[in-house]
Amino acid sequence: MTDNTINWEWPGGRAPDKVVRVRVLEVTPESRRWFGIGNSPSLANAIPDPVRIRVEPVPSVEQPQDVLASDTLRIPKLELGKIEVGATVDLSLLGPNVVIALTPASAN
Amino acid sequence: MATVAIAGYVGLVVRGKVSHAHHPGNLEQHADCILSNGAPVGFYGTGGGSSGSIGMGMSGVVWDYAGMLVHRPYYVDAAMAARYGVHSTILLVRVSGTEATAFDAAWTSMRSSPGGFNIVGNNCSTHASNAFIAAGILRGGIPGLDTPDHLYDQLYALPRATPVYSGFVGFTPAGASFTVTV
Repeated sequence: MTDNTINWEWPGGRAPDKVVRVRVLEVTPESRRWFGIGNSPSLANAIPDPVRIRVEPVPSVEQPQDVLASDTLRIPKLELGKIEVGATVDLSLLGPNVVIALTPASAN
Repeated sequence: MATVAIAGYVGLVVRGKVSHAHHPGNLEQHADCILSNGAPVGFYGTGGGSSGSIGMGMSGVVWDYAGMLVHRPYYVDAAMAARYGVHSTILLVRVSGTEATAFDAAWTSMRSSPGGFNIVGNNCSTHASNAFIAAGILRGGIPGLDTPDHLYDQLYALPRATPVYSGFVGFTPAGASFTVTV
């Protein structure tokens, strides 16, 4: 995407640079502009059933509130699993703009 | 799951094509190729700013197995293909050693200089077609609109062996080559 959305890639054996704990504020299916041309499988940024997720970092002494480059993620719906609005999630990030995993945070 | 015998062949993979008889919609298909060692390779559009959102004026990029593993794992991992419900149809084309070398070299060249991408007329199937033409397997471009399925039909009509496999496709590195399964 051309905005500063944090985009999804699959890990492909890569380890994250950092893990950020966030709370999910909103989950929205991506609109199909231009008859869905923008999500043609031949376009590099296409992902299956894209959803946009708005998140906020969970305050802690380990991570500053501005730890994320954007408050919006774009991921395949399937990778959301059972994560819903209100859930606390660990984001595995590569650099500032790529997320490679979302894991429900363990209760503690 | 069956292993596809690749030796002596190169291939076209039409993503989103469930079977030989299935004709996916224009925005539901994508073309990748199989090199003579079984490696997957394909051409994609990236960037382009606001015009990129309509698939025009984009840059091209060629992804190999490693690129697909992080951007399209369901194109190279059969279990991921099943999880995402991504069906593919492989069409293999029997080739000589000379044709195989030229086909592979065409993709090497496109990888180093991918050029631009337009969803109409300069897309994944156009570049796959260019490799088949460079190898002398095809004499001309894709009849009609450049789509993976039209290229498939053009190749299937060749008077040479063109075995076809459909299902959830996987590529597994095996030394300097790849094992292809469906």
